[in-house]
Amino acid sequence: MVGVAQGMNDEALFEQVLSGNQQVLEELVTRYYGPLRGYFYRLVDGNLQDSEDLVQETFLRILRYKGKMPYSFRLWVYTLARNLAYDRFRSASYKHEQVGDKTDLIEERDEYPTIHGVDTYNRLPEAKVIERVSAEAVREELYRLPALQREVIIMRFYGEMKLEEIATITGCPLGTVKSRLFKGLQQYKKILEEVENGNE
Amino acid sequence: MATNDPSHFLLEGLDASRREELGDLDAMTKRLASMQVPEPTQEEQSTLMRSLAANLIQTGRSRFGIKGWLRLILAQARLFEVEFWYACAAMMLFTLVTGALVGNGALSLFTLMVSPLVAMTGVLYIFHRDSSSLSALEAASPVGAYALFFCRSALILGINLAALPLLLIPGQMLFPQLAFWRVVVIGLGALVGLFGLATYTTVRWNGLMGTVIPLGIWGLLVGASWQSAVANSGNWSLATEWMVNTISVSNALLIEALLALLCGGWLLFQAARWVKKDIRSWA
Repeated sequence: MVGVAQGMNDEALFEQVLSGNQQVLEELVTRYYGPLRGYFYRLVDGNLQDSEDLVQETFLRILRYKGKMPYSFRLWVYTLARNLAYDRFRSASYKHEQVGDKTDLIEERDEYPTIHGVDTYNRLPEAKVIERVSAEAVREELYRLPALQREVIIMRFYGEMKLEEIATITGCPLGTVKSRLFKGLQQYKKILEEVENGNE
Repeated sequence: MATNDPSHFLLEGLDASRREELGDLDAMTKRLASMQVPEPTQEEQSTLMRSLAANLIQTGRSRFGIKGWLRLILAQARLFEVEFWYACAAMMLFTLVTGALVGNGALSLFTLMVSPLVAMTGVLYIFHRDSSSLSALEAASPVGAYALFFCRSALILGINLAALPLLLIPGQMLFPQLAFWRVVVIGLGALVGLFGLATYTTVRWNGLMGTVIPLGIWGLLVGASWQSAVANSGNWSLATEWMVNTISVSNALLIEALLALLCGGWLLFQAARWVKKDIRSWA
């Protein structure tokens, strides 16, 4: 069954999962666990435990879903994830945590994701040394962007999503998504320049 | 997708002027690529699977017994607020007073004509007042649209059937010649027929169709019998008595009511099948 599940598309898997098929659920988890955790980690607060909780909540919503089968499971699940992320933004505990100290660093692991076809872990040796510090710094920089601009950059760069897909997930017109991407990149470029000038 | 050229992919879809304004993004993309999130380990995936498996079993066990149905009906019935019951009582009282006590045929015909509209408005008021929240609740609820559909249908039909004796008992007292069982069959025919039509058209298309089609048919039926009612009412005061007599002796009306009953039942069945594959529970 696992082999069969690997050959199924997301929508067919989802249909099987809703009928209570556990082996198929495992395949769905394999496909979406990592991307969703990365999405929450980058978008919400860079806390792995919080990201884990949000991933679990997303999968629970998937299991409890009783509605019409979505046209695209991937877009549907990211819409669901986005709603959960924004619920988290609005929560009192999140606002409270933002006031306190946030020094949650990424733990060192053997496996790192491939972004845009590049194995990001096995790069230059010197880059490996500063990796953990760099990740935290990038997170801080991204957090200086407004959330709506940040999410477009995250979906576009890390999720490798088309602009039309982002428009569907965010429920915005394509023009708005383009505008947010442009402004976000423009702003981020300025932030990087400031960082660079500050380091000199 | 230009997976090996992240800066190109990042800019793809933006206008040429904006791309030019942003310039070279190589440094930015390298910076972004350095923010990595570790892939879940096998152990983490197993932990997640264990917590989800418990929910998967619960999902599979979504059938519930009589107690579950009763609880669901009770929960749905709580949506009916006190204003709804006042409106029902006022409508019934109005029908009795105008139709039976005052004996004004035109007024009772008018009441007859608008009663489905009033009922429908009441139902829409209850289930649409906060429709976005209701939809969100339905989507998140472990009770599916199918169960809600059956529950709400049973509730509406049950309320109507429970109210039927309240109209029949005074009717029987006022008009002893009235054949009780005929009134029940004719009443049920009209009720189930229109309810089935309204439900099916709403579920299949939308609320507007679900209002216009059944009300249009109801209006046509009332309009078609209007002339007979007026012709038999003389000075507009005996239409009620004529209606009672017609109900008591007309076999054609009885057959029509039986057909409406069957059609209504079939439409409800079709609507339920439609609900099963859709998200709406006609709320």
